[in-house]
Amino acid sequence: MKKIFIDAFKCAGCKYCELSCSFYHEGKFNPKLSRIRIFKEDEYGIDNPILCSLCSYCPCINICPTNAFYRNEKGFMEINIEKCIKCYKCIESCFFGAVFLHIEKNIPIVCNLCNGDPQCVKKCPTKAIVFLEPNEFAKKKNYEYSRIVYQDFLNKHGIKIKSD
Amino acid sequence: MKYYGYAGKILRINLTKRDFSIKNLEKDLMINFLGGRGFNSKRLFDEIPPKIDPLSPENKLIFSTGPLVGTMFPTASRFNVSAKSPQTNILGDSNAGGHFASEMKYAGYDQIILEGRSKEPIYLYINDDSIEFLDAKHLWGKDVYECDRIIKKDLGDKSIQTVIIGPAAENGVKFAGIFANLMRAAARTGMGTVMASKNLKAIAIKGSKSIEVANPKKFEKIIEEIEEEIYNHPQYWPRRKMGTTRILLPVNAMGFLPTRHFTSTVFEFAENVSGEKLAEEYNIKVRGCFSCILPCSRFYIIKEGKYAGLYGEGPEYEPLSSFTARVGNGNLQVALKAIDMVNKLGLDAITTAECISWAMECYEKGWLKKNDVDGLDLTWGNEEAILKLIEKISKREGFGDILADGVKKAAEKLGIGKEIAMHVKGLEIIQADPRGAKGYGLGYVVASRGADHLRSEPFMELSDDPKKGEKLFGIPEATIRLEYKGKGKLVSYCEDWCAIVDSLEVCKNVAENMEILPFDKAAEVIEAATGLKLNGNDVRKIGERIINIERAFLIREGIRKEHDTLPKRFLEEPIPSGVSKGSIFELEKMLNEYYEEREWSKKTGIPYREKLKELNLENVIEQFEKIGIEME
Repeated sequence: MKKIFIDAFKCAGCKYCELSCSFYHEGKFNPKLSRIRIFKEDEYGIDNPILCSLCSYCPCINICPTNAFYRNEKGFMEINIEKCIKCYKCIESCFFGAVFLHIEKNIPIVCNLCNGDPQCVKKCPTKAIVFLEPNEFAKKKNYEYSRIVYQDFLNKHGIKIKSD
Repeated sequence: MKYYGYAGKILRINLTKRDFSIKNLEKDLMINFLGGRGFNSKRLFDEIPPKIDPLSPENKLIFSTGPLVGTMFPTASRFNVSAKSPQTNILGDSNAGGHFASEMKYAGYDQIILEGRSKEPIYLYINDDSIEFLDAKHLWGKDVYECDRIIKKDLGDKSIQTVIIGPAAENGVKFAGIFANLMRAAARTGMGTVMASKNLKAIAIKGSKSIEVANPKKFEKIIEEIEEEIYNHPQYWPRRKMGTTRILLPVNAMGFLPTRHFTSTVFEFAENVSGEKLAEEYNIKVRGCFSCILPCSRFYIIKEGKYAGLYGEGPEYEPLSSFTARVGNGNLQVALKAIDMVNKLGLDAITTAECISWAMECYEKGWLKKNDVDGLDLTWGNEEAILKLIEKISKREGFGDILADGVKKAAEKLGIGKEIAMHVKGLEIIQADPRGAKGYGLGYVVASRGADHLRSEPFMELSDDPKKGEKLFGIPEATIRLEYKGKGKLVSYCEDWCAIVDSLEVCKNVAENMEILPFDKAAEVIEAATGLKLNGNDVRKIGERIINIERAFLIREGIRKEHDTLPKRFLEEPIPSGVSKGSIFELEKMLNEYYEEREWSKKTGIPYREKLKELNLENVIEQFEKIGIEME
């Protein structure tokens, strides 16, 4: 299935993804209601988007004492809020800190890929967030890796690889 | 009443008594002044009596955001901060982007008014409805970066947004700024100096509330249209690659790049210090303000040489061009170092560079000798002199103490170089020679905060496209940069527009320069976001009202027609070389056309009584009558 992949170095930190996420899911604008969050440190120019990466082993699903966390028939993450007892073990357990707290309802929220049409991907101005089939993603990685392999050889001959 | 677009609350903090009040946003203010700069200018006129000392507790420092900030409207991320200026003694106002303004909205405030003066150095921590007055003794003296680091550590949260003043403000430099996200400077007119006079080092803010819009479907549709317009705009990629630094080479080619303190308008080393050079050799990634889809800020690093290891964000055209062409420096790395210092120390880059380049011209002319300037060698472009003077200004040390009041007062104090002090009403001129871009020049003459381009930004005159002038103003010359005709119409139109853009707190580069948000479109957006029903004419009226209340503030402080002028060089000496050679600034003709357009008296520069009435500014008329200012 398609997944969201992130190229953090491309992220400009504008939070347009957070805004489109909260608007789509909540009908209002509030980065603190978003299922994707950008973590920034201005001094170093850090802008790092964090969201559910649909791990093959999901601590949030496994740790939830009431089985409120599950993957639906399409493979997307869902939370059955009626079952949630607000123990927040899901938030603690996520490797990436990608389960967030809904600050108004005090319930956990997590990316559900907007049911297959992720808004953040659609709206990202720098294409730091992309929605790809796994083989497309692997291909991208292969090209990146190939450049690294070739870098020294080309440098020796005075050829500089231009960045995309 | 439920607010849409707006946060709906005004926070008033008394620093003397350490208390605060939270009130509902007044409907009158929304309808008549829209937001941001409009809110601030109205508040200042109403609450600050004339002739007060800007550094006394009587002065008020006011932060405002606009009705689109916090929503997804592209580039709506800015705040205005205003007070009476200690640098110019008239209206002080400055504007910056980043992530502070949106956080302020999420905390629930459209406007924060700071009154009085704290006895001890403090900083404020605003977390939704909770306002804390925290000790800042350990922050006093720290540069902007260090201060931000310590605050975030103290409060235990790196996602907090801050506005901070640097050591320059604490030391009483009159042109110190307020910095958001470390490098987003609201630096003009000395708002940082006012903040320091209140013993306030920083404001840290965190908010958890949401912003709702009146008509989400319509709003979404407008955003989609605007996104498309921005992405397809011919300026999109140059701006994203270079920000405003992209104009350095064109300005040089058009022959109005102020070089060696306006003694020339063509810089022979322009290629070496251009936006292109910066992008290709130093930039490593892009960054953007909140909700911006045209991220134009760039993160750079110097990899080799004396300044290897220096990194940071930006710079924009003004500081880059100021610390290169204006001071005669052809070394880009030195400029980056200077700009980094200016940011950390908390100074206004434009004014700092004017002070230095003014001193350099005086030195060249022999009016200043080495022993007058602490033994520094002020020849054009001297690296050591530039960097040392920045430091000295920020500490008010030696010759730096004289420059620290701005170029106007420095010239008065020393009794030299008054005619070449490049300022209007005490605010230093930016990096565009008024003789080579006459709309810009007229903008400096009449701007309500002194010489400044951001009050009017008549970018369209640089198109040199007569059809545009014909279509908008019925005068083809209006959009030809070396012509004087039609500039009154052009500038007043652009001023009204900029007032709206500043009040919506969207980015001027996108909304005005790229012409994404004309009055009609603005009306549509405002209605979808706030529910206020307006048409394009109403919106322009609001802009006009803001310009007039700002003018009224100036009039009350004693500004008249004779202050609407430029330094002599621009009025008497034609541009000496380059493609704009021979051009001179025809002040009187342009100013008369402007006054006519504005319906202000050509004798005094005071708005006509009828004009003020038409704009519902009856309280201005009352005030004027009370203190004996005669209106025609």
